[in-house]
Amino acid sequence: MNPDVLVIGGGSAGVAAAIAAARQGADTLLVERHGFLGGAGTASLVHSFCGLYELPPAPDSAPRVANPGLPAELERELLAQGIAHDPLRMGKVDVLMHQPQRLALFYDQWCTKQVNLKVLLHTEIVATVVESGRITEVTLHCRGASWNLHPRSIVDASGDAMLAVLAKHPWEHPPSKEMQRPAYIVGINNVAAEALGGDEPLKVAGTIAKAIQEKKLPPEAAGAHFRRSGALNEIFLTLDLPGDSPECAFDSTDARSLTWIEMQGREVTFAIVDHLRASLDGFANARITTLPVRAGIRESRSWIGERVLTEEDILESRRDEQAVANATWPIELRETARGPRLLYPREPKACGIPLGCLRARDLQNVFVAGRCLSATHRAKASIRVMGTALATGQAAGIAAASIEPNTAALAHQVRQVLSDLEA
Amino acid sequence: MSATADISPNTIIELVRETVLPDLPADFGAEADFFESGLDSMGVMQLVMFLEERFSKKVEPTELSRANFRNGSTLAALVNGKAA
Repeated sequence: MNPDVLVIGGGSAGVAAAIAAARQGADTLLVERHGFLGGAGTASLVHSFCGLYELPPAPDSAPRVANPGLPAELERELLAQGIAHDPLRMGKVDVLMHQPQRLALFYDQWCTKQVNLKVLLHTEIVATVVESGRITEVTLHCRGASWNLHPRSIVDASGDAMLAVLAKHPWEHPPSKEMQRPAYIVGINNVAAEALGGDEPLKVAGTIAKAIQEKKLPPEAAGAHFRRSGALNEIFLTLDLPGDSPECAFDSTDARSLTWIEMQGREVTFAIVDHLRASLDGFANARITTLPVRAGIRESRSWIGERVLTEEDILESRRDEQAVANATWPIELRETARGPRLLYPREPKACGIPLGCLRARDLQNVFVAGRCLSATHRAKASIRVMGTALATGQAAGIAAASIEPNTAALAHQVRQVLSDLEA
Repeated sequence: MSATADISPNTIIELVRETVLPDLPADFGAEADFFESGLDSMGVMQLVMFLEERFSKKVEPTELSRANFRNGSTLAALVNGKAA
């Protein structure tokens, strides 16, 4: 079992990378640590695709998918299958709201019907062998059993630059103070339809604020907001958390931090729902019915690539002959648990992420996609979203399927494939 | 009548800029719409808590409406109608 391409991590980026590589004819293996695919969009109950659409050039412009190929195919299929509903204009951007539970099933089917692609769930990478600037062997692990593989190329879509750590390749990690705060999302059933209509979300917010002031809810409840999901009778409560614990400052790769936010997320979301059930008629029968597999992490380690995407690249909508994926989401800073701060490009145009940002600086056969690609802290606040992750995954998958070693020539090949998909 | 001096729309706008919407333009006027500038329910929740913390003004959940929180003028009118 030695695939041409091994993809690590089955989130939006990894699924897109695996399908794209398989469609280029590469024998492809996708490994995922949890029991289903979809990453943040399923496991963490993130219920909207951001960065899927172009920035609207005018307030009345119709939404247009920002990248050809798999992002466009996913949008079309989710709408056709009723997993998502018409795109929603939120301020200056469009998002696609979806049902996380059904998205997991969609990803299963998308992958299993793809020839040349094999998926292994509950599988993680635990070791690598590096020889002359290439990863020549990887060790995979499932519940105590390990085995070795010798893939030709590897795509790291782990979100945490797992492969960089294992291969001792340079990577970066922002200081805890700057790191984007995590979120804990739960699904709630039996909330009355009118409980979130009109001005009601403000009244819900006011009820929570009052309870915090009266010490009936902990201060962390101030990070709460509610959104109706596409699923009938279900709403999502998203709780932005500070992440810092008495034991350590927030670090999305530290087991102590992760344990703290998972437990605090559950404690506070259940307390909020209990309080609303007792305080507001529309919430009288509310129940938390869906828990996330894991808290939502917005930022983690990133690779040092051949190139590093910057804040200015996003804000100036830069693109050059290496551009292989369009980034259209504003820089969304969440350095506190008090809501986002958005920095928009000066003109409503996409930044073209260059292939050099999807390629390890010192390892010839390693590509990177999703939130751990090579970018500064500020640029990551744009490119981390799921719509963009689909696009960087697709580009990394096409690149990994090729045997062309030169980045400029490879970028040309990837752009050719993408341009054929557009036709 | 409240016992303390009235809070001006500009003081409210300063509070909103400082706590919830850091990117409000310098010339943001008393009638300019907070919601169009990105205020959402979570921001309103923060504001309710800051209004009490800074000015000892308690806003009740029933008073939370888009009309009351629309701009500096409407929010100043709401809090000035309250006893400190």
